Amino acid sequence: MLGNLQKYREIIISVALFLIFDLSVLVVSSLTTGQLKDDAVAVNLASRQRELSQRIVKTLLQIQIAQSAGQSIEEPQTELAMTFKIFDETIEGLRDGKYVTGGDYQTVMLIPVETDSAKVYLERAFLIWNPFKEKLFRVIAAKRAVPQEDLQDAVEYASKNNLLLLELMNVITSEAEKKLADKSNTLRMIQISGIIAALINFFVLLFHFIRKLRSQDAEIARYSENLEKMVEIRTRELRRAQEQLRATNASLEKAKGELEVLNSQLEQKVEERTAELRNAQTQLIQSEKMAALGQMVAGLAHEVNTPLAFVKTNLEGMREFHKDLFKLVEESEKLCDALQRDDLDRIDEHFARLAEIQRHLKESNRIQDISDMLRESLTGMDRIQELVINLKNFSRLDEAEYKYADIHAGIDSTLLIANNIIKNKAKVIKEYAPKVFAECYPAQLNQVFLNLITNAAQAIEHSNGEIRIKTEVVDGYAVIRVSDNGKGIPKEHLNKIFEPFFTTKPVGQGTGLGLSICYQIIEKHHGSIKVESQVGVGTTFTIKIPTKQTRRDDKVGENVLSPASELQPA
Amino acid sequence: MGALSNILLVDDEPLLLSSLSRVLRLHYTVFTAENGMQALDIVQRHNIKVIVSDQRMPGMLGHELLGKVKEISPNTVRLLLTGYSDLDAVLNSVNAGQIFRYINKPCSVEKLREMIELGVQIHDRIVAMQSEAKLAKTQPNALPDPPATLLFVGYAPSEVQRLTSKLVGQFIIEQAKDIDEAFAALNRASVSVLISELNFGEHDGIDFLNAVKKEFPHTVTIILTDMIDATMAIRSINEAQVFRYITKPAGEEAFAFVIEEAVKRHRAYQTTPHQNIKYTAEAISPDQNFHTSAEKLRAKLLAARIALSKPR
Repeated sequence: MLGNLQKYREIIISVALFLIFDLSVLVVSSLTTGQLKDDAVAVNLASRQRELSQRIVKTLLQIQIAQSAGQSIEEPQTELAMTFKIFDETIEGLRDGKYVTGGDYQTVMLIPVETDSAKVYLERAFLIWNPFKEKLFRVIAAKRAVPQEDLQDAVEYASKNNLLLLELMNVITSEAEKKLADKSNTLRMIQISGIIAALINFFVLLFHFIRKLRSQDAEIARYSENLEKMVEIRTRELRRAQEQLRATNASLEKAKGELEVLNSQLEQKVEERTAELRNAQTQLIQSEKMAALGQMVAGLAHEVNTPLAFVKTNLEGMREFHKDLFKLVEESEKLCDALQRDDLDRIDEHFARLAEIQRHLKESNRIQDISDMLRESLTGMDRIQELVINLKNFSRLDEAEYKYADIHAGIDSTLLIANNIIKNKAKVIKEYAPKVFAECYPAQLNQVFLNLITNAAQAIEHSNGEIRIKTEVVDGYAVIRVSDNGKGIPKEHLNKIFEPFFTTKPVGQGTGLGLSICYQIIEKHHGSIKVESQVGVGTTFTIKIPTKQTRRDDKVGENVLSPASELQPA
Repeated sequence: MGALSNILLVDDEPLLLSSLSRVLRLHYTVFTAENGMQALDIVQRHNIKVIVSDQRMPGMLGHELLGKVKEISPNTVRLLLTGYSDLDAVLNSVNAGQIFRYINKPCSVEKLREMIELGVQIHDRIVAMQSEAKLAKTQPNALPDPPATLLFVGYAPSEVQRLTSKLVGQFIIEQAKDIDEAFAALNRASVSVLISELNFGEHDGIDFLNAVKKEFPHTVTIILTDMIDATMAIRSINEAQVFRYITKPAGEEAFAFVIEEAVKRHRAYQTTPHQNIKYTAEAISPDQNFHTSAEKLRAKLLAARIALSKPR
């Protein structure tokens, strides 16, 4: 705002100056014009005095003529009175300044004479006028006829002084005229100087603006010059850029070619890598399978080992004991032989030996031992047989892959397989619903159960371990819960545990695929597997699978574990 | 023949206990227990010469039981039956149970009997030496112990430096980069504790330790290796009676603690040799586990000794 004002300051000042000049000229000239009018009145009236004085003389003469001719003097007398009156007031007005009867019998203001010379002349005029006035007054005041001597006196005075008075009036008039001329000259000077000042101001302004415009023009010229330069530079730059672009384009074109080559190579590499990865995946899955198998085999080996150990011990013991029995049989045979031959000495001898052997057998409780050994060995063999049957049940090798199966049977056979892992760690608490069947791949489900149960056992690090297995059927789903009171899974691991290769076990002890494979197996059953865990309290895995599969088309057999299947859980 | 020796069998399988006790009953008074608590109860009430325990049992594991038995009855010779190798259990027991032998299940009756018999003899011998020692216990060793010598075999000098950072000044530290150097060092000075790697290329680490143990029964041996192998661990006990089997990486402080324990053990062996079970076993019967390769190593050791003694 202030800046704008600043910008217009020059114009404002110029305009103000212009207005001041013009206004002052106007004021001065109007003032002067007023004075000029007054002066003109003065000149006019002063000039009229000459005529009036002439008329006074004329009327005097007329009165003289009329009187001498006996005619009425009334008319010239009136004229004289009138003229006298006007002359008198005018001359007084010239001296003192007052309202007088003007040219058209209108009252005007008469200003007193100003110049000293005029005043002197006026004084002289009064010297003439005042005696004249008295004489004239007598003429005017006379009724019907003017006394002759008065008339004569007046005429004589008039003829004697009229010229002088006239001359004086002339001088005064010319004085007034001179003054008027002076004044109008002054006025003209003022007007001219005002116009000149205005013109100067105008020219100053004009010059100023022209200069300004010129400097702006110069600036614009400079700008446009700069602009041209810049345009030139920019053009050059653009041209260069264009060239570069063209070059870049070319190299891009080249790069594109290379890229295409690389791309094809990459595709090839990706294919190779994919193949490698698939291979690695296959191997990993294989190793997970082997790990599971190893676990199972190890478990079974231990389970078989125990009955095997005591069966073997029993058999080894029986081999020793068998010697005693053999001796018994031998002596019996010898005794029989002696009895047959009636060899009394031999009979006694063999009988004594037989009795000794029998005593030994009895003392050492061999007979009882042997029957115990046989019985216990058979028990052991039964246990081994049971394990083998269970192994068959677990793997379901002799059954249809896909069937309507008893979930409990699967869990039970899994528990037997996992027995050696659980045995030392936890008590298993089964909370089974009366009957839980589902359409499934029993062997694969068993694999899931084994994984969960093994994990549960491994999570338990105290002596009051409990693994709770609960089953129920809810809304057409078989629900299996495997809970432990182990160490629990930290929150940050919970959402990762179904990811392939996620493991918290040390390297070499688990591929990290177990739960991811479980996830897949359950997903292929159109079911769900969820985990809840609290560190230090325990973990619960909940599996839900539909008891009846609606979509049998995408049932998956072996390829659950095939490399082609997706390992990434949702 | 007098009273039969008391032995204790511990297994969670009653049928195994009954079958074993039947075949052992003729020669021993057989006690049986189905779990660790029962076993400890029996050990407390009877003078058990040999205890044979299964490793895998509910409640208390075999090596834990044997560790406790060692405290209650130090003279009871402890045997551990291991079903299928459980690495953690074996390594734990090596370092905690002070076990005389590991026996793999299933084991023939004959072999078991042999082991038990050796155990009984060792027990009797230890007891006999103890009473001898008691009688001869007149010279208290008022002399301050000279600084013990530690011999590291098969490690990089930087590693030895790191391991012994907490031990500087307390011990004389010797280093040998291979078995030959180790033999030379063993013959030069009395080594209290020998810390050895297991992997020596052509030579078997356990055989090396076995040979060392045979010649220097009182040298306490420690295995420090990154080879985690249950078979090796079992052999290290059964054949070489190593004091500790430590897997790498070993913390300096923990290592320092083990070394102090080992040195104490070495001093104990020197003052009361009967505590040295290997020494006692050797005295009773020559080592049946002594392989030909160990024999060769022993020959080497002896040759080194001769070579060293010649200039004198």
